[in-house]
Amino acid sequence: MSFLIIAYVMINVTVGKMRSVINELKKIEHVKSISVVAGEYDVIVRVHSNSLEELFEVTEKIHAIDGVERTTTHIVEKEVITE
Amino acid sequence: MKRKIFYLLGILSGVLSAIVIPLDIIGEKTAPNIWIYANVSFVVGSLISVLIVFFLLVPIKGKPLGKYVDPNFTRIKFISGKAFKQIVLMAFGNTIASLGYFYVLYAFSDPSAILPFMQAAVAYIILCEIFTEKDSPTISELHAISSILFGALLASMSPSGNIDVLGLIIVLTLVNGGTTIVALSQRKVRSVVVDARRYDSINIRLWYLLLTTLMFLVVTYIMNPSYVLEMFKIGNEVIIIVVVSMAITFFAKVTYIRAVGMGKASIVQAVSSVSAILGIPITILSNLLSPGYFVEISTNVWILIIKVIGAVLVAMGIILLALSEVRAIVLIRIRAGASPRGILESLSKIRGVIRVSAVTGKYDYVVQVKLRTLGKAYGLIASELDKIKGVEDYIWLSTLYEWEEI
Repeated sequence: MSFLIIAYVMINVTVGKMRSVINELKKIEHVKSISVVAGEYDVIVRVHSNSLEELFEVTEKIHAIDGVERTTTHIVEKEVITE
Repeated sequence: MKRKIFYLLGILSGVLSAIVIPLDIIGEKTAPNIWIYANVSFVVGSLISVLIVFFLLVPIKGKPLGKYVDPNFTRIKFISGKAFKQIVLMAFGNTIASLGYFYVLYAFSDPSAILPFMQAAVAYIILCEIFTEKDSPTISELHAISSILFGALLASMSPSGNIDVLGLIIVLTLVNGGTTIVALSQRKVRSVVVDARRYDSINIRLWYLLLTTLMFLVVTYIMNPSYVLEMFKIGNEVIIIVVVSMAITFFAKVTYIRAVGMGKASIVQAVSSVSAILGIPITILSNLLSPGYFVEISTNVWILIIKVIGAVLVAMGIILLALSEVRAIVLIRIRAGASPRGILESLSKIRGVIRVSAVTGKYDYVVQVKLRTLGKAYGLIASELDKIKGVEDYIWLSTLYEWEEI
């Protein structure tokens, strides 16, 4: 039984490492979308995983990327899509 | 490489949808009557669509083929309740638009006049939104809308330098009005959630087309019963033209969807707006390949120049609208004791909000926003957020770059 766990991972990136961080993020399985934003965080990643264990593995891989300073993970409890 | 394929698909979709028009003109001239041709198009189109949907039911690795086209697809299912009302509206809009479209084909026989006008429906959708938002339009919207409408007007000039007023009125009211109804109700169907699922695009298309065919047959039957009855006496050449035209329309849709899957929908829309400019070369080409079916293109250089300027204005207007789109992510914190369910509801009702996620952690909601211009951010989003009780604080993160897995 697999069920979908969706999470947003907010990432702060070291100045100058943005491009390489994005390229590494694209390679990670279960990363659904990447948004580079201006503000409190630098990158917001949307992850679709099948279990909390898998989500943990994804965040671990994100941590391992050179240039990732700090991450904050928000797990989605409920969602409304209007588009 | 991938980027090139993306742009290529976008252009291809524009080119394919432009080629359909001269084909329809030839078909209309081959058939005994424009409405008989229109009815044959709808009936054959529906049959082909049903066949395609059955084909999409074929399981591959335990999943129906259609799941690769739209992940929400599982089986053929009736659309009921609130969504059904919207599908009926879509079909109604399409029936009106098609009545106008086929009449204009018959009256103009000039792809270079019709194509830019078909693109002008975008301007209507925005005008509708401006009225419903009760918000003054931004300067870039005004710029784009006037560019599209004036461009279409110039491009519709006939070879003798006249502008056909009746044709113009039909396109502006029936064709574009109908298309606008289709677009607006389509948006609503997609937002209806049943059993935690949204309707997939395959079922929406299927039922929408079947209903349109039914409505169209009824309307033409009322106009003159022979339009429907004589459909069965039609020659093979007409059927072949209809099938080819349907096949091209189908591939135009597929390339469009593929391109949207690869990148932002707005860019695809912008790129495929080349079809507005393509009208002139396509009319010249069609005249060379099958003379007699089309309006002769003008030999007057000035009229040609005016038509080209018109087509370019239309395309530029659409590109301007598509590319000035702004995306943002808004993170919201709520006060303790506020009703989370109510807030989720209120947030999802704000125009421009495309996704609301209630999350655990430092913030309570992640809201994804899509706006035509940043100028709308205050009026649409910020002022609405201020009104929602329980919102304590929010931060606005403008999206600078976006990537999505295909």
